[in-house]
Amino acid sequence: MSHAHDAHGEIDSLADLRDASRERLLTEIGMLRKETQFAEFQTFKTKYEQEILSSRDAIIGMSAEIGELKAQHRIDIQNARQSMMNTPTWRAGSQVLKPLNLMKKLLRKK
Amino acid sequence: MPRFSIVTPVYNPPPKALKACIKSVVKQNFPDWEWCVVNDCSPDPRIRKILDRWATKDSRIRVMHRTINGGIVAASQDGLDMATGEFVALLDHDDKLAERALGVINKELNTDDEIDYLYTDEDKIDPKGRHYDVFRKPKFDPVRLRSQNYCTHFSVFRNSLLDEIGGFHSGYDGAQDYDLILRATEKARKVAHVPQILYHWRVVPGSTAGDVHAKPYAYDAGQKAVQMHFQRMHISATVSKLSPGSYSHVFGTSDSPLVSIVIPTRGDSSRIWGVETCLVEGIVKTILKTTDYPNFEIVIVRDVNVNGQMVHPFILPNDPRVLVADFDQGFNLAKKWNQGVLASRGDVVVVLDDDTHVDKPEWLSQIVGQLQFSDIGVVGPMLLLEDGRISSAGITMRPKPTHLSHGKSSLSDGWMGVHSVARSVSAISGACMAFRRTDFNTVGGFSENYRISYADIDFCMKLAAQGLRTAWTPRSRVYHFGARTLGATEDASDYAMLKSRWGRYIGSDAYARNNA
Repeated sequence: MSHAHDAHGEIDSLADLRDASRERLLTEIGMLRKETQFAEFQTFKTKYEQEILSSRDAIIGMSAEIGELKAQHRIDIQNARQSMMNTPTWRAGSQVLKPLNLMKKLLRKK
Repeated sequence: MPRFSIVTPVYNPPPKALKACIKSVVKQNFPDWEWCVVNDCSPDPRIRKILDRWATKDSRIRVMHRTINGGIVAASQDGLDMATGEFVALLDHDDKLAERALGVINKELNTDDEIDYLYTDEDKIDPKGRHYDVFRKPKFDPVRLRSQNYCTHFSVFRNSLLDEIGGFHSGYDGAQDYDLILRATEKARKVAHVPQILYHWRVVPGSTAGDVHAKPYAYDAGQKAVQMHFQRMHISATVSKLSPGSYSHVFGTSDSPLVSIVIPTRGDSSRIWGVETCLVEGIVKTILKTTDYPNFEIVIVRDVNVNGQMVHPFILPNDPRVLVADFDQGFNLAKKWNQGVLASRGDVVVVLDDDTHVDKPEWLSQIVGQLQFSDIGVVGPMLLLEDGRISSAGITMRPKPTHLSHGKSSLSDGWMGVHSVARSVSAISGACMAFRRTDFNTVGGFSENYRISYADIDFCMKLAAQGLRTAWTPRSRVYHFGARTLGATEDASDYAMLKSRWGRYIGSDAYARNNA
C-alpha cells in the first residue's frame, strides 16, 4: 500500500487524497466567489457613497447659487435705483419737492 | 444706568498724556457714559489734582484714590466694581479715544442684543502726536487670539458677562486684559468687530506700545493666560513664548484618532533639490520616516488603465500602513480626492499632493491637533517653496483667490506676526488640508464640478456655510514643489463655477484686511 502526504499530514489511500483535494478545491472556489462578491459589494458601496456625496454637493451648491443670485439681485436693484436717482428728471423733481419735504419734516418735529 | 462705563486704572502717567486722555473722553459725541477712574496711589501729586479737577467739572467722571498701590489688576478690578453701566470699556491712562468711538459702538451694539464683547481697530500715536501703525484687525478669530492678543484696544464687554466670569483675575499683571478677553470670548454669545480706528495707543518711553520688551513680566503672564485657556477648553497643549506678545502652542499626541493621509498620484517623477525623484515614492518614504503622530495610514490613489495596470509604475514600501486605491477615470482631482477618502478609514483625513515633502516630525500632529476645536472645519500648514520661501500662508479672496504671503520669507514674523501665529483664513490649498470625515460627508466631499482647480476653496466655503472655520498654522510646514508653477493649472470654467457659487465672497476678506 502506497502512502501519500499532503500539507495536513499522512493520508492512508489515494482515494482519500482525491476526496481531500476535491473538498479543498470546492472550499477555494467558494472563498473565491465570496471574495469576488465582496469586491463587487465594495464597488457598489463606493459607487453609492460617491452618488450620495455628489447629491449633497449639488444641494449645497444650489443653495450657494441661490445666495449668489440673491446678492446679485440686490446689487442690480441698488444700481438701478442709483441710476434712476441720477437722471435729470429725478433731480429736477427732487428740487421741486424740496420745500414740501422740508415742511413735512418740520410738521413731524412739532 | 448709563450705557457705558469706561474703566481706567491710573498710575503716574505723563500729565500731558493724561489730560489728552481725559479730553478725548469728555468730547465723546455720545453722552450716556460714566468714567470710573482709579488712581493707584500715583507718586506724582499732579495726577491727583488733574483727576479731582475734572471730576468736579463733569459729574460723569468718578474718581477713586487708592491709599496703597495695588498694581494694575487690583486697580482695574476696583474700576470694575465701581462700574454701573450696561457695558464696560477699558481705556489706558495715556491713550486716546476717537471722538465718535462710543457713538459708533453704541450703534453696532444696537444691531444685535446678543453681542457680549466687541473690539475695534486701533493705531498708535508717537510722542509728537503723529498717528502711525494702523492695525486693521480681522473679524473675530479665536484661533489667532490663542496666540496673540490682537483684540486689545478698544475692548467693550457686557457688564453682566464680566460678573459671570468674575472680572479680572490676580496673577496676570500686564496681561490682565488678555486673560479677561480669553475668558470673556469663551462665554460670549456673540463677538463683534467694528472695523474703524476708534482707539489711539500712545507710545511713551517704557510703554508696551513702543517697546514690546518693556514689560517682560507681561509676557510671562500672557503665556499663563493662554495655558489656562487650553486647560479650560480641556485640550492638551504646551504653550511657549514665541516673540514678545505672541505665543505658540504645541498639541499633545495622546488620544490620537486614526488619520488617513490621502495622496492622489499619477506616479510622475520630477527634479527635486537637484535629484530626479519619483514624487509619490519620495513623499511616502519621508512620511513613514519622519512623522511623530502615532496613528496614521496612507492611502495612495493611483491612476490605472482599463486593464488595472499602473499608468506610470512605482514601488511603495512594504508597510501595513500603506494602502492603495485604483482610479481608472479621466483626470478630475476632486473625484480622486473623494475616492481616496472613501477608501480610507480614519476619523480625520489629510489630503496631500504627491509633489510635497515633510521634514519636521510634528507636521501632522499640529494640523490634526487644531481639529480638537469644534468650530474648526479645515486646517492647513504653511506651504513652502523649494527654496524655503512661503508658497501659501492661507488663501485670501481679495481681490480674487490668491495665496497669502506667496514668495515672502518664512523666517520673518510678517506684519503683526501673521507668519508666526495660527489664525483663521478664508480658504487653504488642497496641497495639504486636514478635516474630519463627518464634516466631509456632511458637505458632500469635494465638488466634482471642478476639474482641475478651486475644489479646495469650494470645500472650505461649503464648510464655512456650515459654520466651520478654516484655520492655518505655521507650526506645521510642508514643502510644495508644484507651487513653482502657480497659476499654470488654473481653468477658466472652474473659476466661473466658483464665481457662480461663491462670487459674493470674492473681492473682500474679513480675515486678511491688510493682505498680510
